[in-house]
Amino acid sequence: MHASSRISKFLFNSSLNINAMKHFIAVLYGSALCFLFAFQQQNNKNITKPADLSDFSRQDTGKIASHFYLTRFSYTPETWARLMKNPEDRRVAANKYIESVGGKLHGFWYAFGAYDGYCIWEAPDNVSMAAVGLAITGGGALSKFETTPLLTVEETLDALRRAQKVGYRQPGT
Amino acid sequence: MALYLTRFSYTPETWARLTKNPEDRREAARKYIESVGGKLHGFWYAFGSYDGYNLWEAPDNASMAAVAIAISGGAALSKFETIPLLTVEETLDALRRAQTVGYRPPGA
Repeated sequence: MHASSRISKFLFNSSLNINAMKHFIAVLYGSALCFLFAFQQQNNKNITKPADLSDFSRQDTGKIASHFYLTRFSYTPETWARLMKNPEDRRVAANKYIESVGGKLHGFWYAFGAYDGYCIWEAPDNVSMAAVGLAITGGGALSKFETTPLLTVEETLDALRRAQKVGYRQPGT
Repeated sequence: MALYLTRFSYTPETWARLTKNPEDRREAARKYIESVGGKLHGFWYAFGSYDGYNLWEAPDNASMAAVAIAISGGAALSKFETIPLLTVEETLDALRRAQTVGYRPPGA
């Protein structure tokens, strides 16, 4: 509505100056971005259908199977220096990378301690997750980058039930 | 089916028991992985940070976790870590897909 009122204002304005033209293009670009974002959100719905959005750790029951991964990473000193000069929300970048392989970013945090940051994301399979991992490590901005496949609580309950049938016996007994 | 590498160490009690009663644990490992529809590909003992390594194949993460839980629950091991592996073919595929990710370093 905001965009359309701006457009009509522009159309009724007889003096066609370059600033108005720039503004019109910016508004058009903004609405295109909104559309793109909505489209991507729609696509995500097809990839993940969590029963409860507040609990993304639930196993996806949609048609496309997907897996959760935890990535622990650290930046090189040069990367921190570059980010200091030019602060940037890297969640946007991370989201773009994982979506390029049909996955989804669930969380991204910086942290104290052994690693500079952690992210949780979902990918269709190990190969897609590896593709993102390789693209990022190939960029040379990180000093540490480790990806751990996660099991949901449901998968672990399933594993526990199957573990009962394994019939383990200690070595040498 | 996916391949997994498991790195493990026995507790001192387990080594003491095995010394008294030597046993080929490959047979046991094979039985466990086959019980979930998988396959044992290799089993080695080793010098260094871990007492042994094995390479096996399981239908999915949950089946592999079932075996890992059964083994860890037996309390004979002091270390037990399972790493999902990618084949060279899968990695080549990942490398090709990595080209389309369009990575740009932070702050660049």
